[in-house]
Amino acid sequence: MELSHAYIQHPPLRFDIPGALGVMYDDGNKLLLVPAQGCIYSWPAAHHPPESKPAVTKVKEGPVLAVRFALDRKFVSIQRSDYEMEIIDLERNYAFRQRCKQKGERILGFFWSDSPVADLVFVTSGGLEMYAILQSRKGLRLMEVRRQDVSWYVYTHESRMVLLASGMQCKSLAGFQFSAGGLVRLPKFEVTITREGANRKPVLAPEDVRIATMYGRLYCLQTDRAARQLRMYRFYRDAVVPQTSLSLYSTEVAINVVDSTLVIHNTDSGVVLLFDVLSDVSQPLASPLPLTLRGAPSDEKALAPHEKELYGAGWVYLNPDLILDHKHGLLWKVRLDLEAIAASCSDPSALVGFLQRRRAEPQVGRRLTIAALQSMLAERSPLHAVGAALDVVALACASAMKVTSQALSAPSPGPSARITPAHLRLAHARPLGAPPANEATTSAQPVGEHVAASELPRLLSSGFAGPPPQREEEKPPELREGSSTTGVDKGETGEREKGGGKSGYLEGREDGGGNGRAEEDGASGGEGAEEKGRKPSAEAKGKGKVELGASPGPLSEPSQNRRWPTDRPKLSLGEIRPDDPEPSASRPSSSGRVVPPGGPPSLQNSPVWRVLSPVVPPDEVFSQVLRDAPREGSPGALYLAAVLIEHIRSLAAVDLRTPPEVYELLIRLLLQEGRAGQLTALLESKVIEPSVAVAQQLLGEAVDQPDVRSIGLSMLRTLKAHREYVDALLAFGNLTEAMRYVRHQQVEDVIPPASFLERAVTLGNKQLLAAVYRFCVDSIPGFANSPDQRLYLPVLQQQVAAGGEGAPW
Amino acid sequence: MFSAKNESVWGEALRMYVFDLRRGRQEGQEAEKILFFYPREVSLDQQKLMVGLSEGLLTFTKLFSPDQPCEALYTEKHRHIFFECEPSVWMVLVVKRGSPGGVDPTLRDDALRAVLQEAYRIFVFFNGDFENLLARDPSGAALRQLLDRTLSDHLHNLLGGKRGQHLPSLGTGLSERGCLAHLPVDRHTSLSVQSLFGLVQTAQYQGGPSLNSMLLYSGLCVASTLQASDAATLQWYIRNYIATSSRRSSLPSAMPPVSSASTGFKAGVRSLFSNMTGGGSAAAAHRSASQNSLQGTPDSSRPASPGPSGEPVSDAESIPSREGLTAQCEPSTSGQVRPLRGASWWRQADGWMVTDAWRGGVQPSVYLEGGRKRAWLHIYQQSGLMLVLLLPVDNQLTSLLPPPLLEKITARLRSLEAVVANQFGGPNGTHVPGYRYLYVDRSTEKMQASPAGKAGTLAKESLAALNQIRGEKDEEKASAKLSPSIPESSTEVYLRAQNNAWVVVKKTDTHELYVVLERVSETLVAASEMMDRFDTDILGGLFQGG
Repeated sequence: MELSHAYIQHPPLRFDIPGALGVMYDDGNKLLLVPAQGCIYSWPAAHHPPESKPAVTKVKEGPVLAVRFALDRKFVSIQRSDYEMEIIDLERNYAFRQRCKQKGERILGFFWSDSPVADLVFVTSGGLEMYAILQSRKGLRLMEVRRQDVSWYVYTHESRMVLLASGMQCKSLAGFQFSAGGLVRLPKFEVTITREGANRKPVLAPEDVRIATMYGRLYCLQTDRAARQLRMYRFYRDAVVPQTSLSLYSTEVAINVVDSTLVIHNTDSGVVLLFDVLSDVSQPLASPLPLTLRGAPSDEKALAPHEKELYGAGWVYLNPDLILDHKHGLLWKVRLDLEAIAASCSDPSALVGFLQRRRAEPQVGRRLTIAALQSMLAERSPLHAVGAALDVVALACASAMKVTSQALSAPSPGPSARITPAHLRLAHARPLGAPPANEATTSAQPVGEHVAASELPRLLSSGFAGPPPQREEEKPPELREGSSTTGVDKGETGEREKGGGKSGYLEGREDGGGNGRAEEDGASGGEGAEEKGRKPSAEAKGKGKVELGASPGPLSEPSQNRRWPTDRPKLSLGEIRPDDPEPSASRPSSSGRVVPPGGPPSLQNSPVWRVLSPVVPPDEVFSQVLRDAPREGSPGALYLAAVLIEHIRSLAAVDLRTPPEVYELLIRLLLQEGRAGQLTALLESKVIEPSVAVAQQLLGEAVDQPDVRSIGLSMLRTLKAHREYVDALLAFGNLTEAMRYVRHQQVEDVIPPASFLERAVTLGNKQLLAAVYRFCVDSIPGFANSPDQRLYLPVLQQQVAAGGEGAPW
Repeated sequence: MFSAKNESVWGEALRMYVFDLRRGRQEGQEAEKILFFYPREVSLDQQKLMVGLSEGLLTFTKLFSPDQPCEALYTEKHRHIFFECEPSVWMVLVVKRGSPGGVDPTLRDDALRAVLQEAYRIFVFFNGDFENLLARDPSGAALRQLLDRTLSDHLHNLLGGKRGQHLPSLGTGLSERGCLAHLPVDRHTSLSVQSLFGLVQTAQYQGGPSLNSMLLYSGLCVASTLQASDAATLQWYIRNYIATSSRRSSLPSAMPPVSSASTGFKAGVRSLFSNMTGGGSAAAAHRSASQNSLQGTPDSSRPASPGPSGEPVSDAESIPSREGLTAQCEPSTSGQVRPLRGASWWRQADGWMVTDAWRGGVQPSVYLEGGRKRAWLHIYQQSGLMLVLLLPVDNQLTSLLPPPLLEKITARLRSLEAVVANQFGGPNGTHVPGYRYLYVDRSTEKMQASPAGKAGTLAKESLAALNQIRGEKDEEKASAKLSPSIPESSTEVYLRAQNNAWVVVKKTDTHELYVVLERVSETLVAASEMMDRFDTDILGGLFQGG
């Protein structure tokens, strides 16, 4: 098989319908729509293998300029002309028409929104018109008009953002986000276009601008063909900040975003460049390789020639990761070959960061993460690199566990609790700027309502394969929005928005970008860990710096300064996030952390979050990476010990519990290398947490280290492990101390008297035996006339007699 | 400390000597036994007389107690304290009894013996153990020379109350020689420090030196990978010799990298602050000076020479010109190690500490684990933090820390410093109001005590009672050693002093706690409650189990 980092999977979705009026992609519902005379065919785009039979929706005949289903799929809107829309209530089979309000303006397009400000938005040449569906469901009510000259527009449902282009060169862009908190208006910004000819003023074309959502962040990507640059602008709540520019090696480029990875197709040369915005974007993630077609039948004849053709003339690159071949009626999905990327990546710690951010193929991500860690240890990579990689892994794990546990612990009213847009509007009819703090958390509470444990497996599969069709009809459309990527399962969060968590997401932003914080922490660990301190906050800043430097003033700071898990005061300036599936539950609520450190024990073993994301839980890091790591010779052992300490540090930084096996191995290595001093320091400072197991290991293995043994002993005492402590004292022959302890702690019942007596006999000290006997008689209830007494009294008498002394009692 | 000036008077009449019972067995060769005698001015006959008395006493008491012969001898005017530092090698301390000019007659023996133990540990730390030295030079000349230098210097400083040292007295009852003063930090900080150690440790794998590190803040040990006793001795040295000299040379340490334009002035400043030993200290002068001195150094066992690229080690090795040194010390000692005499350390602009104590441009080295291992001593200072690296001498490193790694370490130290500084309670950070205490963990040689200034406020009666009870406990310990079949057990003693203060001793096999409660003129119950509170709050319930 040809090597490639990105590929398209055979078979594609085939939608060759005779008499079709065109093909459209409804990204709100992830449906491929083919209108024909009298009906609309629709295929879910996210399924693999693709559905061969489309769903059919009957509509009136007539011209169809554009079609979109409502997000709950109860309505379908059809643009019939430049001035008129037809909206059909699919449940009641009732249709009505709506003309655009501004006279003389043309409808450029429209989209359904789940924000409280509108259900349906028309983009006209005169601006935005926002409509709500009447309670009677028989018409539209105009909610708001935003007047502005519009040459063309770009909208993605993923970001809920529309960019309106205006001006002679169309390079002035105005952004509006239809977020759950309401309409967010972004400052206008102008993109830079390089002149190509001497006199021609370049005009920005819609295909040169793209709204991309990566790791829950919103970017505007602008292709400047003349300058061979891809300019990135990042949207914040109140600012649009130019970020880096990527050099393009061709003028013929197309863009996809696959699993938050920027995929730049050089269509003329056929190669693909991959960029990860959370890594170093100055160079591609992996070397450029061509796009390939995979999974094609080996039989050449079974494969139609047009299906083999890559970068054909009819290819259109849809947001985020689809390629539509309208000429041949095919829909491809772009995928990443993580294994190939991992194989060609030279920086293993950056690679681990990248892998831990993969949501599309968690299992592969996990496997490759483990492999990367293994090879780092085998090659004895510098410790700071290993530490950085372990930080990323621990952070990702902590975030994933937190998210899942919150989802699971939330009440579960059942999937039928649906809320219509009208309800939502009522629920959120309050000023945009003043979201009450408490409500953010309370209203976010039902976030997990659909994510009952029984539902999770289904949700898990909804990433790419999509849920089974019949379920799909029941579910809110957002469920299939599975792309935006973040730390959380897509389905889960899609439902959240319906489920009343809606307000959560504006508040999430207000809260200093808390929304998606968990994910970003995981994502940023890669770079952040390099210079980070021990706290996640410090680490997050490492990432934050980049954006801070570029952003004007303090505006974006709150959003960057991810103090986690400490809560931050509310700040009105925040970063705009897409309407991404990051549930507000994934951020720490202002009332503190919901999950106890380390998460509930049951969750640590719960497979749920393991399936959701590529995290490698601590015990797996140990069993897969650390336990069998090479440790030949003294340097090897000391290196491994240092790695173990890094592992403990990275876990402690995110409040995860260290598996006891880590301590066990660390103690063994240090003892074996004669580093008693270091071991003592680790025990003293509780880096190795005191436990009965640790104490017993110290007592058992540090045979020639009395100091270390005595630490073990006092550890048992402070842990109040009576039985073990007394046993250890007995083993050392310290009987009087053991008896004193037993009496002092009043734990006479814990230790069988026979063990004292037997030890005294073996020590051969008859005074001691007498003392022990007396102790048993006095202190241990039921000792008199017990078999023990009958056994040991003669022994004592015998010894005393042999010594020729009187009875000592 | 501990009003050392008033109480160190008795030191004037002090004698300390070291002798080897295996040597000089023939009549007329008695002088052969003597390895060291202080003060030097005492006539040889007098020396022989004193050593002879000690030997006779030891031989006699060995008849009754072969393993632990004589521990101390009380004469009318003097006290003799014995300490067998190595098999058959004895150290004896003779002090005058009673005032004037003598030690307090009630002062416990172990407080005096600790002076001997400390002297021995320090000697070994810098020179290795006697056995090795005697094996190398059976004539004992080398050992005698080293003892003479090291211990004389040490005693000179000790008796003079110099460099913050003090002789034991009743007033120092709440202190313990040879223990490590710790700065307790939280688990996260500890992990960061250990992670830093790991970074240093794994910086070089080829050849795999087992490198030891120690991090100090304001003279307190934050963490170390050393064995407890080594850590304690190293800390003793750093606190008394390095920290003080770096304080004196605080101006040079604050200097930016030396630029050629202003070297003259700065060099002058530096030499002024580095005990007038540094001659020209511009970077170039350093280099040439160190090269000069290298050529003149017979000792070739310094670490593999770093490249001329200005790596840290090479800078650390460059020392002031020799003229400055020879001007100060007698010619016979040049090229020799006198770490305790006239030595000063100062911080270079790159953060590494350099010294003139190891004459002749030799990289400082010390002996660890009772003289078994020799290690190069590197000290890196970053404001309050001092990172000590002990690199085994047998490794083949070309440079200690490659510059990129050093940058990482510096960055980490910087972030650590803020964190550690937050947890440092200041010079009186260990003070617990209402209590005057000393806590010693024998397993880790760790100690925590009331600050000297606070302990100094105790009444004489309290101190006397404390001294008495400590003495009794010392005896118990010694007798426990004699019969190991009866292990030590926990004890708890409440003693009411004449001034109604409570003196409390709590002891388990490895932990010792001495507390004086002067404000409680109340009942035993109240004192006991106070102690329980102290145990819970300060020591984490260490003594509650027993």
